[in-house]
This record gives sequence, structure tokens and C-alpha cells, in this order.
Amino acid sequence: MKASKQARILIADDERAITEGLAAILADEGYEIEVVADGQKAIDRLTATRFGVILADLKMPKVDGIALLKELQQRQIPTECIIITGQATVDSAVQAMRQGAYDYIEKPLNVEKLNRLKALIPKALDKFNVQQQNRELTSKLQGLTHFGELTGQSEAMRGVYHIIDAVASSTASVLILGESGTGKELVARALHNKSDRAKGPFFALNCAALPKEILENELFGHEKGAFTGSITEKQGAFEMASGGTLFLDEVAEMPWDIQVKLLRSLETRMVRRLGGKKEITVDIRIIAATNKDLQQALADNELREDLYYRLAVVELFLPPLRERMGDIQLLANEFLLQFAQQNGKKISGFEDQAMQWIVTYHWPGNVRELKNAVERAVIMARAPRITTADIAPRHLRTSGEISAAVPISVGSTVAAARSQLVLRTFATMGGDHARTAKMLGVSAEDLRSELALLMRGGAGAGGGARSGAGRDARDANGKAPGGAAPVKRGKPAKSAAPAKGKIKKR
Amino acid sequence: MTERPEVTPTSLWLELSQEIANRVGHEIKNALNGVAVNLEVVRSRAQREGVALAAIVPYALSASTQFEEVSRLTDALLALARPVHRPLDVAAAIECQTQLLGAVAARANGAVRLERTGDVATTSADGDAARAVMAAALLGALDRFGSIRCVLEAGGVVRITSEAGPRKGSRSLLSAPALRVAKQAGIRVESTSQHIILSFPA
Repeated sequence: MKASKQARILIADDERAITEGLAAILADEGYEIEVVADGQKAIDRLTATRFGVILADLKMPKVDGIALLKELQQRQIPTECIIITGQATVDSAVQAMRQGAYDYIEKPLNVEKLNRLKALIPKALDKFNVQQQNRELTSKLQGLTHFGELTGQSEAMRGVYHIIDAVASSTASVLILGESGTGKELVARALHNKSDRAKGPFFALNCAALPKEILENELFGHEKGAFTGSITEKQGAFEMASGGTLFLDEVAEMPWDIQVKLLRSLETRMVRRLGGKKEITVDIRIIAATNKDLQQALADNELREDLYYRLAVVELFLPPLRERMGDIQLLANEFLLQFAQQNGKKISGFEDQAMQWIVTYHWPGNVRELKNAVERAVIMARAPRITTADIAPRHLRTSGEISAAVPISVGSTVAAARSQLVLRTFATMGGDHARTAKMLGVSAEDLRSELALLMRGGAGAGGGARSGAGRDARDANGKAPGGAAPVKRGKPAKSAAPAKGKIKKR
Repeated sequence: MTERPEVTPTSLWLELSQEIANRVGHEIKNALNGVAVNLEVVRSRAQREGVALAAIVPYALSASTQFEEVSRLTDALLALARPVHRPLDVAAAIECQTQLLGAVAARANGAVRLERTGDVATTSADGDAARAVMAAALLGALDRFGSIRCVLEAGGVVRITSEAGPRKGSRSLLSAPALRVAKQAGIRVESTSQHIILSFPA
């Protein structure tokens, strides 16, 4: 029985006369014991190895028992601490318990105290084990809802995580497609961080933000004297990202002639600085992103087809937030927690009506817009819960963004069309149940029931409310169940049309 | 404005002997804890069948060693509390104090080393004053240096220095009240930031 305990216990005490005997007593009980002579060494060991219980003297050199407890809390080191003290006072005991000690025992460690200690340790270990299981479950849950800096548990986002996992370790170029604010740069960072290049640089460049000459200079660098005022040489993004990843955002906005140079550099893995003669070899992985309709850009000759094929070895479509209804609530709550902490406000959550509005609003600015809206709402909030008035008004003032029309694709079900109509009207009315009910010609009570059902994902909520909802149900080849071809919004699909969850290796 | 009470040799000795007893008390308590814990190992292992003697003996020896330490420190503590006889035996008085403070120093990985280079005489100085000045000098040096060397020389001279060589600092190692008591008792003192030399009158 004793051998089955196998738990690790750390003894932190500078009194060798005690630690040797104590270690022997606990080893006889079947525990694995390690002894350190001061608090700092205890922290070092607890950081490196997991101990279920630490027995710490209150008075120790370097870091005493109370400071050790504080450090354990601050660093969130999982262990249960039993304080052993020779100078037991009510104050020191209270202080130790406040700092998270499991219990404390007074010296002298006579038979009675040692027996108490022997009885305490299994209980402390039980607590540690339960908390350890909680931590593991939380971590698993976190893994379901988060991926690097990305948040989302929807099928659409899990598809994205799957692609990132699959392609991160390769050197293939990745083209990320998605509306503004969907988190394209976060995906690029996740790809970089999961790749073998993670220790190398991640260099991001927005191709739309810079005039042509400056963009060229930023990409390729220049030699000293290349142009008036160039008094020193300068490395370009290719050189600076060498050994790592170069992220080119808004790549479809790049001027045509720079696209030619970019293509050449991508093919040869060499760059020539402006005004330079020698070719510089670079070792980079390219990740590009755009929010443009690429078919249109290709048709309008805004994007070179050869560059497109070079960049889009793997295409990754980031769904807009309105197509990830299940993630909206998760993101809103996460932002609320973040901004409440940042602003030192005690806000416990959203009122139901506010959350209904958040979930039904179509968020044209995607995650970025939601984040900004929650931050503003947290700052403006006067109550412990965010109200619709805190979060909605500004968006209603710009109600031009909210389409008065409800797009319903041929093939949608009546239930999907109905839910689309209800949700959009509710969002347009700023989450006002009475006005929404009046406009829809239903009773407020019926509306509440229907909204509650839709929030739970019932009655066509997954269909008509989201123009791309069908994507969620598609398989890895972008096909809907039954073999339907992926629907491309706006333009008719070409052979190269991107589809969510589709990996194209060229 | 309240006037500071005058420091007498007896009041200073009481204050400093309490300080030493307090510090040593923790060491005695720790050693007793060690005895208790090691005896518990012996007891519990002795009750179990099939436990080799080799698994018990080290803890019995450890308990015995710690008990001897307790006994030694208790003797020194009793000597500290004993009334003083005139003339005071300088060597015996300082030996008792260094023994006690040696145990305190050991806790912080320090040491108090005592050496004799000549026959140390008795002193005619007031007993409480002489013991108080010795204690003040030892405590001052120990707190500053951690490890100290105390040399008893012929003619009643006690030289206290750092074991680790010179240290930075400018403050005298001996407190002002101790210096006043020494002066009243005719004990010559040379106190710098690096050493203390006490010359006791014959």
C-alpha cells in the first residue's frame, strides 16, 4: 500500500537535524522525498519538477516561508504547501493561510505532531491531485477553444486550426483569405510559431499602407547612394525575415511591377537591393494575406496570376465572424474579461439582451470590431453587467452598415430564411424586443422564445442567418454533404476559387 | 523631552545576555526538534519487522549528537547566567560566550573561532562591565562579519577580527553604551570598522 503513494514531497528547511529525520519518516510512508536548505532552492526545484506537497519552514535563509508562498501564488506553481514553524503565532499562521498554505504545524515535531503531519499529507495530495485534474481538463478545454492567439470553437475555426497544424511544419507559401478584422495576421503568427522557423524572425509588412517606392524599398532594401538621401545601406524585409517568416498583408494591393520583382525573388530565393548589383540569398517562408476578391483581382489584372499561384500553394480561408455565431459569445466574454481587468472594472458579464444583440449583429468589421465594441462598452458601463445601451448605440448610429435587405440564397430552407429575418431585424432594432416584435408582426413573447431557440442554435439558426453557413457543413474538399460544390460569395467560382478548409498543394 | 536612562554595567550585561540567550534558545530548540524527529525514526523503524540495523543506527547516532549539542549549549547558557566572581577569569568568560555565539553563527554558515596565544590573566574590572563589553564586541563583530576570530593574548588582551579578512565599512564595531561602560570600568578599547581590541586591567 505504502509503495503505491509514489507522490513527491519537497522539504524546505535549513535545519539538517530535522530534515534528515523527517525525510526518513516520510520515505517510510512511501513518498519520494527531496530536501532543500532554503526558499530560493525550493522555488527552483518546484519550477523544474512537480511536487504534490512542500513542507516549508517559516524561517529560512534567502526566501522565507511566507515569501515562498507568495512566489508560488504569483508564478502559479501547482503544489500544496504545509508550513512548519518554530515561532507559531496567530499572525504568522493567519498570514500563511491567507497566502494559500494548505495547513501549518508547530515545532517541536514530537510524535503527536508527526502523526498529524502524516495524516495531513494524503489530504493535501488529494487536493493537489483534484486540482491537477482540473488544470488538465481546463487545458484540454482551452485547446478546444483556443489556438495560439486565435479564439474560436466553431467547426469553421477548428478547420482553420487543422490546416495550420497540417501546414505549419512545411515551407509551403500560404495565402490567407478573409475579410478585414478576421485575424489574418494572428493566423500568420500561429503558422510561424508552430513551424521550425519559430525561433527566427516574423516580419510583417502591409503592402497597401505604403506608396510604391517606399514599399519596394521596404521589401528589398537599398545600397548606400541608391537614391538621393540614401546615406547608408538598408536591409529589406526579405533579408530581415531570413531564417523566419515574411508576412505580406494586403498582397493584392501591391503595384504590378513590384509583383514582378516579388515573384522573381520567390522563385529564386534571392533579392537584389535597390541600387545594388549582387544577389543576396534569403531563406524565408512567405505567408500572404488579402481581403480582396481574388477572382476579381485576377480578372481585372490587379494581381498577376503567376504570383497568385506562387503565393497560394496552400490557401486558408478565415470565415467572417457572422459565420461563426458560436464563437461570438466566447470572444465577447473573453474580451470583457480582458478589458475589465485592464480598466480595473468589476463587470461580471453581459445582460441577456445585450448578449442577444451581440450574437445577432452581423459584425462587418469582424473580430476587431467586436473587440473595440466590448472595450468601449466596458469603459462606458456604469452597472456590473454590460447593457445593450452600452454596446449597441454606436453601431446603430452607423446603421447604414446594417443591410436592410436580408440575403437569402436559392436553396435556403424556409426556417433558415425566417431565422435570418428575425435575427437581422433584431440587430437592426438595436436589440429592442418590442420594436422587433412589432416590425415582424409577432408577439414580444413569441419573439423572445424564437430568439432563445436561435441562440441555442435551433430552428435553422445555423443556416439562413449566415450566408456562408453551408461552409461549416462542408467536408475537407469544400464540398457540402451530398456533393454540392463550395459556394463562393459574389463571383462565380473558378477552378482556383478558395474554399474554407481546402488545402491545395501545388 | 524624556531623558535616556543611564546605562549601567549591570543593565548592559542583562540586555546583552538576554540577546545571546534568545539567539541560542532557537538553536537549542532546533536541536531538540532534531532529537525528537530522529528518535521517532528509530522508534517507528524498530517496530517494523525486517528493518536492518543499518537503517536505524544513523538516526540513533544523529539523535545522540544533537542531544550532546543541546547539553553543551545548556551548560554554556547556565554559565552565562551564573553570578560573577571577582576577579573575573577573562578566558572562561569569553569561552562561554564564543561557544554560544558559535552555534548561532553556524546557522548562517558562519563560525566563531577562539585562539589563545598566551596565558590570559584575570581582571580586576567590574565583572558585569567586563562581560558586557566582551558580549557587545562579539555580537557587533559577528553581526558584521558572520565569521569571527577571537584571539586571547597575554596581559588580558582580546583581539576580535573578521575571519574572512577586511570588509568595507566605517562604523565602529562597538556600540556607544558599551564604549562608555568600558571606559568607566577601565577597559581599554580600540574599536574600528575592522577589529576590536579589548585590554582588561589586571
